[in-house]
Amino acid sequence: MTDSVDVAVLGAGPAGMAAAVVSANAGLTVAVLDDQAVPGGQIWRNVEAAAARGDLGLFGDDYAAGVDAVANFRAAIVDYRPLSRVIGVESTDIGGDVLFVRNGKAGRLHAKRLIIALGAYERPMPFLGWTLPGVMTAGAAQIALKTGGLLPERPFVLAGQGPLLLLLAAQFRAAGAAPDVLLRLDDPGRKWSAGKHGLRALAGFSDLLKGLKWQRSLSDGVSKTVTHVAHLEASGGDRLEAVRWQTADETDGEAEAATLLVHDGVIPNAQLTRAMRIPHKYDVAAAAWCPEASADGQLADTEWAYVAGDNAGILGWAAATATGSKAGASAASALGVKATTSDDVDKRLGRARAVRPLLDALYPPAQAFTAISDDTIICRCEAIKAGSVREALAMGAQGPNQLKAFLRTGMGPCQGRMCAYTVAALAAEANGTALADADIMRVRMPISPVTVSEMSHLNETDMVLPTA
Amino acid sequence: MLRRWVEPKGDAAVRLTIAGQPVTALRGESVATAALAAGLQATRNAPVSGEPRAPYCLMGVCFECLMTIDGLPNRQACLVPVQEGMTVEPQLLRPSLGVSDND
Repeated sequence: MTDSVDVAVLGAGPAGMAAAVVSANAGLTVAVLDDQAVPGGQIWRNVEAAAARGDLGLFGDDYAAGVDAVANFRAAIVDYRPLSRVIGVESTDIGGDVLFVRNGKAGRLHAKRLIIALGAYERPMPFLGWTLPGVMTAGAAQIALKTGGLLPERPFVLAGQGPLLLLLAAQFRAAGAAPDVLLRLDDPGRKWSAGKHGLRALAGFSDLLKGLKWQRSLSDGVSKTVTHVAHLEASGGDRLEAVRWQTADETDGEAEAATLLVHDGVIPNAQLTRAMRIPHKYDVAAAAWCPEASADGQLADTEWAYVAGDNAGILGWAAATATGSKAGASAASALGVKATTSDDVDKRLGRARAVRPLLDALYPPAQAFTAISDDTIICRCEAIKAGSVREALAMGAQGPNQLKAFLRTGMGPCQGRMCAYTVAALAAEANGTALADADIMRVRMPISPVTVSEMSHLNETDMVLPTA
Repeated sequence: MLRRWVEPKGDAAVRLTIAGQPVTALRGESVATAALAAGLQATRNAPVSGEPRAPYCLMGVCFECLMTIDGLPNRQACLVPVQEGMTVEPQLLRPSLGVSDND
């Protein structure tokens, strides 16, 4: 039997929890599906356990803000289903269905309204040697610290840029694990106060202060800091042994390394909205593909589905609680129920929107895709190098979708999560198109691998997934 | 790559077997971080090139942490919380169709 709710929320991070609380408090039946074991998303990962252990101080005020948010979520009357993997979504006459896997069984949940809040992930940054064990994202190491109490082994090299890198560096330092070598990928020529976005960003004054504080202490405890690194390379046999770099003014450097953490900002996790064939637009300032949606998050070309939080476009957790609330209220009102959101929703959103253009201008993606050497693996799953992609394009491959047939780029288990942006950029470069007009590879359901055993738990009538 | 800073003790300790070795993990962490803390270098070999791979994102995106957990292969170890008595194996061999090169 298919179970049924008024509102299905995908993701239990800041946006998903806010959406669930608002629609549940309006009296609607709400189910929340999330792939983690506990609520909080990535920013508030494991925050309940950290609070219980008395470890909150390590991670700063933004992390501590999750304690109340998670408590509010736990207190709301919500059918919370942790450890659920969403594999697809189908529209029906009224609303639609979510297909998911939980406890080794596929299931189908009918909902009148759907709120997608699947967050963001770190922008994949291909360079020679990035597939070596010992190289991981800075966010991954943060998750390992928050959940397992793990720290990077030394020698430890941290390479990257952006607001999240500043926060991560502060957290590692607080845990007594400042990097031995810090490679800054941002251009020091771009100043915080300068540029046309500075004045507007003053509306988010407290965020700027926080950033300046992190920025000032970024190199504390670090033995070597290198600025404006333009080229990065990891080397080793079966694991990372050394990191080499070159700065924009062509100064070379090298360091031994057991751990290399990289970070180049975050991009929306648009895998599901892309698989749903929602139109997506390339946001040039954010250098990211974002689903098209109305101001309250209703997705273009759908009656029933909304997007909220960083899934819609990167604005951070405070804005995500606001857009989550708005989507929850909007879904409620579409179902004829009045929902209340807190008074400062628009203020929070306005503040985040004021700062974002400055951040986008300060931290464009670090690496020009043209700088990826031919022998760099760009599709990790299928071990396909940039040179093969360029060759296939020169032979006449028309774009990312035809490249799948030529090379299998994006057809491994990650389904293009790691290579879609790079493949799009390489194709755009070969075709002489701007990224804003370029294609990104098509995503198909199921958006996460499913076993036959898991699928066998669906009823016969439930088996069909969208094919278009 | 990563080392244990907080040692799991008392109720927070979960005992499992990773690559044949007994391992004590922290309740609430994933199989992937437990494997890294246990000193496992590679969680799998890339099926196409055979080169060793280890978790890259730890949040369900990269699929580099695919491991065999309690006999079920290709599970995303970063999305599976550790449980008492689990048996976890890295996927170090290239998958085959059961036909050796000599047949």
